[in-house]
Amino acid sequence: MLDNLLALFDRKTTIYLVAASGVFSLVVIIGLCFDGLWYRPMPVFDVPLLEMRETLRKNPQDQALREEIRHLDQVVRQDFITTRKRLLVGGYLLFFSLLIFVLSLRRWTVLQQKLPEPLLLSQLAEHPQAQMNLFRTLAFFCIPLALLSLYGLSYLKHHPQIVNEAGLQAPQPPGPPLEILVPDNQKWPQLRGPKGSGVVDDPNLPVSWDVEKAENLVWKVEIPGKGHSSPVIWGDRLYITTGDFESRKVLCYQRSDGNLVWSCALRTNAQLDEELKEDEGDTGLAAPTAVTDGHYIVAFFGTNEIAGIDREGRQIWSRWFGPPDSDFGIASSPILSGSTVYLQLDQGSKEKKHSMLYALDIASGKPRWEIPREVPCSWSTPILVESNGRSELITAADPWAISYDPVSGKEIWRAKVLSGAVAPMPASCNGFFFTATEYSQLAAIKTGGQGDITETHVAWTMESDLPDVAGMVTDGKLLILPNGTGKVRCFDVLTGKRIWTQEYDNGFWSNPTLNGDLVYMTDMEGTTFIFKLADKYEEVGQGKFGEPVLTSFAVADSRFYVRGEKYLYCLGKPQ
Amino acid sequence: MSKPDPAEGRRSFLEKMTKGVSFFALGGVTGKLLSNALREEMVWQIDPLKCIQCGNCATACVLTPSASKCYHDFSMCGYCRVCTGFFPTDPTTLDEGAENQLCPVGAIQRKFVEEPYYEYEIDRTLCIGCARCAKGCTSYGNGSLYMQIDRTLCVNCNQCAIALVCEGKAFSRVPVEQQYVLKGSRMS
Amino acid sequence: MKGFGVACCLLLAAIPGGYAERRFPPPDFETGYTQPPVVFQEVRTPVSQYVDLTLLVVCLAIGTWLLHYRRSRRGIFLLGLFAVLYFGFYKNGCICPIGSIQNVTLALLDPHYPISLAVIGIFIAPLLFSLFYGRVFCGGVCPLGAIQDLFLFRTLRVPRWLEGSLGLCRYFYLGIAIYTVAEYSRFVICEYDPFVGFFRMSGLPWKLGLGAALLGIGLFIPRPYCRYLCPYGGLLSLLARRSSTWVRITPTDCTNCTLCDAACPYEAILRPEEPIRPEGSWRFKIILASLGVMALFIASGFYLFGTALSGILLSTWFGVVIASKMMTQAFSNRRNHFETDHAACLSCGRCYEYCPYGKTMQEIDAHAG
Repeated sequence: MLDNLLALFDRKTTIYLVAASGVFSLVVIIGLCFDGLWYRPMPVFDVPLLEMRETLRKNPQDQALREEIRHLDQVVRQDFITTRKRLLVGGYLLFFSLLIFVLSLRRWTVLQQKLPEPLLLSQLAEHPQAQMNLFRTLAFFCIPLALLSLYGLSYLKHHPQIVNEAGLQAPQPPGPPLEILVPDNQKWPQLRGPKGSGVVDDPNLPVSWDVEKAENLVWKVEIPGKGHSSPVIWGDRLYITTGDFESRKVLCYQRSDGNLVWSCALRTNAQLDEELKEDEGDTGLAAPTAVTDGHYIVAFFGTNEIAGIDREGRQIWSRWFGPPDSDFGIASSPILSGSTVYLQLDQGSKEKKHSMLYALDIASGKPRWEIPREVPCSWSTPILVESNGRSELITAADPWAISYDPVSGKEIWRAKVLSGAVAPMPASCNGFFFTATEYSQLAAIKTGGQGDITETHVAWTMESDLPDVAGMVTDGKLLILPNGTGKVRCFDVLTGKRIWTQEYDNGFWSNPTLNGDLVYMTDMEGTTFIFKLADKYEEVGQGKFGEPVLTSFAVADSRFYVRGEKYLYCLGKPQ
Repeated sequence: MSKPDPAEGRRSFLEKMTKGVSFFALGGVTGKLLSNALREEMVWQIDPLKCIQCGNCATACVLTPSASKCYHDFSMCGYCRVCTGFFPTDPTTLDEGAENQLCPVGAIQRKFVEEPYYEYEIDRTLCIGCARCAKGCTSYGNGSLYMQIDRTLCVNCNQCAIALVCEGKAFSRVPVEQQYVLKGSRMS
Repeated sequence: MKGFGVACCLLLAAIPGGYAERRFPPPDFETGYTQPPVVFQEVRTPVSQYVDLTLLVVCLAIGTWLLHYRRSRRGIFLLGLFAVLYFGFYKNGCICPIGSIQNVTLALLDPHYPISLAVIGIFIAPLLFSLFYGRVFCGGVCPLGAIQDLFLFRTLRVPRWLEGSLGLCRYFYLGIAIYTVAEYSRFVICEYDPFVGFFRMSGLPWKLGLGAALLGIGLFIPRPYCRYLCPYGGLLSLLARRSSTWVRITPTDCTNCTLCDAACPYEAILRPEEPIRPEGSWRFKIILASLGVMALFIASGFYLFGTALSGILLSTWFGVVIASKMMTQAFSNRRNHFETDHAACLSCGRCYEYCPYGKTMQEIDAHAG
């Protein structure tokens, strides 16, 4: 049957078929190339339209431009869809015409073929130099080719950033994944907790401890490295950072027993000045606290390096903000909201305009936005608060306290309430924002402002015995201010009236923590004072570390996690 | 019959040997493979919790338009009036005009439900997988818009071309019984 | 309705705390609006790869039958056409035995990598057939080979010495592919597959161009990908050397008419010849040189890759490939009559049509049948 069918295609029919299908295929190919070259899956939409949108944003009243955008948008989209259709139809046409072309060409070749004559063996004799030729091609083609490809692969091996490495085929871990199942009381994603306020409510937290007598001590481990950053926690993992001139590291500990799970040394393109080796600054190179959302840990260091690391300890991204330029070192910690990391990096003098505020994607490190700030260097960590139905990012620096919209980075309000070296974190409660620093003033700013609100929204100020490093803590009625000389004062939030003052032997640099109605406040020598937040000072207990503690507490599962000068402690009542 | 050539004997013995060795090598490899084999077929999918909406899906896929599309999980949606997946971060007006739409192909339909809620629905025949809406929603909203591979389109390349350039390393193979990796289903 | 709302809230509270934090709570609708479900379309049946595996084995069996029992070139051609249309255009290319090398490597290296049974079958079946019946897979089952075969127009002869050394590139490519899997978990064979773009009717312009260029070369130098690049072809060659049944020329019936040599486009017919350099000193020199090549590659492995085992192994493999090619030259034997080269034979069946004896055999078979 097949033979009968093939007999239909004699030489003449076949050659016509070859010619017709060949010409047709060629036309289709040219058409497809022509269309295909114009076809882009994406950028067509970007080029002029985005520019026009930008222009419209600056000049929202321009009705003509608006109409033009709409028109152009429609034209581009229509064109995109018709091109897509043409390419699809063209593809099928080409497929069938090429199939006919190839089959008929084969048929024609077969018909055309002159059958070979049998030869004499001697006519086929191999070239006498054949073996020599083989060795020549081996020596001049195969060996060089092999060596060249080896060199290429070793080059890739030594320059790992060129190849998108591994992980692609990584299997799904069996079972439910982890982070999202973590209960809220096991999350301490950033400095001073989920809200950055240092407030928790857990009646099972200990009210006294003594590390040397192992009273209420769950475990302690020696930290291999220097740093003043505080722990952050997600589920069963605890992260701290250490840093010196040689390397900056993120350490991951098992929260239950203090075993080190992994440590990841940063790899960045930072070119560090040798000066940093001699003088790390008062803050050291690992003062900023990391943030984590369970999937990623973002750590920032005094070298101006920031990096994103996944929970297995692999560095995903990094960035260097240039040589640090700050009087006492870099201390501001990044903070986290959703998948965005905010970093207030105030450097240099006001004239140098080095200060910036960054909003980075936690997973990729790509900036969502970054805006310059006209302030000199500061050491304060911003806070993110919800007030009057909007989110605000409150920053403190000399002389402005500025609030930004976390989504767009636009400034909401500013108040000229500070001066000098600003380090304490702002606080917020009950319709007020508080900013304070030594030799300046404590200012209570009412929420809901817009623009420059120095004259309109500053409710009250206070000018003596202010903190130089430590932040404030408040329950909405009373505000506690520990300072660097050992004085602690309590204010009424609404009126600014001083309720009481208490003096201690040593100064406070660590941020206080409020648990229910108990304030935990640790002095520079490592003694924690625990007292009731009330109209009268009343000490409830003391905790002793036996070494200086300058960091803030992290809390999870009725336990405190504290970093001292040398050790990492887990404190909790015996269970 | 002539006497068998000893060289010939050696040769045929060697050949039998190597054949046996290759056979058992193949068997060994198969056995080793079977020890961790899966009955299920594996297909590519995006883990929405890892996806960082880099936008490479639109351009890297071997198919045009990409097999990676945006899906909308209504149960997670906040039905915002100012949807950051629909509007750019700074829209001039809150209407559906082309100048206010984030989606380059107009694949998102915005429907009024009741004051102040709007429903957003994606027309996947138009979607090109650029992930702009997913980025807007995940960055500033609930993250109810997220990327998934449309399994009706994907040809399941042995080496997924998008996975090679995926910045979040969000691609992996999942058993075909769970073709989609949903944010909600990851809880169970 | 209210109960439903409460249930929803409970469900939501159980869901995400931190990552997918509900920045905007789901609204309580007053107009009775219900949330539409998300539609996720599932089409692929979970057995499709097993269907493919079965079809592959059936095709291999048919190919073997056509090659060794029917001796039908036309049958093999039609089988190839089917392979192009089904495995190529209909299935869009994946997964194929060539690519499965990488899945298998990864599964062997990483015990956690899930490899499906079907993929193992797809990898092993053609190898087993090759060990028993020669490269049947290449002849009419592999869509990549068949599409090149379709484009064969005129054959330019490639000298055997060039054929031999160019053929080594397959083993280099195999080594590189395995190295990249081990090092980067990347599948280069699939990434640079020249023809899969045609099967999908879409792809990057340069890849389509590469495929078109290979088909263009293939008009005159038949099946360039199979002969000089295909890593799986390399594996099949190794096994086919030991196959029990293969396309062979019976010395007693051969009249040295040289027609099969003219028919074979792939240089797979070996001519009768004297060993070119029989002397002992020459043989000794070749052995020394090949040992030198081995040493060169091992040394450059250590030099280029330091202590990285994968790199050193790759480099050693390159050395082994080249050195063994040289060694076979030292031990080449005298050939008295025409023979087929099992390793190079792509099982296309063209020679059957030319062989005067085979022709009669076929006719006898046909009459008998």
